[in-house]
Amino acid sequence: MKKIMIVDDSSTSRMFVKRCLQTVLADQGEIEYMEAENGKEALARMKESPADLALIDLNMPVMDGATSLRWMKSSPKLTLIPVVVVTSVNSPANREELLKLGASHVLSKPIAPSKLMPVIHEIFNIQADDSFGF
Amino acid sequence: MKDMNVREILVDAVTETIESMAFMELLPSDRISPYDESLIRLRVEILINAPFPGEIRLVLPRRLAVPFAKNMYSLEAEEVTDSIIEDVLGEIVNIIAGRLMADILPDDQTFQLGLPLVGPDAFLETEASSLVIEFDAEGLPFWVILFGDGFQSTT
Repeated sequence: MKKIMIVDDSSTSRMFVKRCLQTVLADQGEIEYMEAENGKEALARMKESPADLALIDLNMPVMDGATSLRWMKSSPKLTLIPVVVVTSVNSPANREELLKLGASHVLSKPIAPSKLMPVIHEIFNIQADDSFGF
Repeated sequence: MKDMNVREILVDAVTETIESMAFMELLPSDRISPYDESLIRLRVEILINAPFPGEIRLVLPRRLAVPFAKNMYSLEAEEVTDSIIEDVLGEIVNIIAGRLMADILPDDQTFQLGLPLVGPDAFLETEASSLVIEFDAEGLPFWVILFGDGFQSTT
């Protein structure tokens, strides 16, 4: 069973991301979704129970997404977890900085299944299904 | 700064964000409605921290925020709580701000936003604003206000 961590201080945003993931991964068996409101909470939970993928917002109180990403990439236990940053702060220059920090992808809010699908398929090595309709 | 018409970019950012998230159509208006005391208004604002100081503020009647939340969460109107409304408005202003900044800044320029703040609005403050746009959403007014010298159109 795959585990996916969704990190965002907005419950609305977490709900949107989870809905999109459920659509994109509908035929991929059981998925465990973990949620955290900030980077600090997410790191603590992933150290106890590592995720297969983390989707992280950038602007959050307590610990923001960029700091979380730095911590993850410097932690032997978490460094291999792919991180997709889902953010409203997504200019080409912002995106380049996040990719340099180790993000595997950077996606703009509002998230949609059509944006998320190719990224999730690449990360989980899922063959594209043309019948999906996007 | 790119050659730009900030009003056009802002209208696109607002209408597309609300349509894609709350499935509601907003139409920009050429006028600003007079203050109506009977409307219970909410305001949500987000600071632009870099590359220039600024603020983006949304002001809307509470009864317009309810269908936003209802549509986004697939809830009945009576299930929409103040907490859900605050979170929804915070996320909307965050996305509008990000879209606006990404569209007006050069590609090699980073930007930083603060965290959204939601609260009641006693009146529509426009004195120091750079730009105010009123939208019509199902017959109710929805204002978007930009503060800051960085939001100057160049076209």
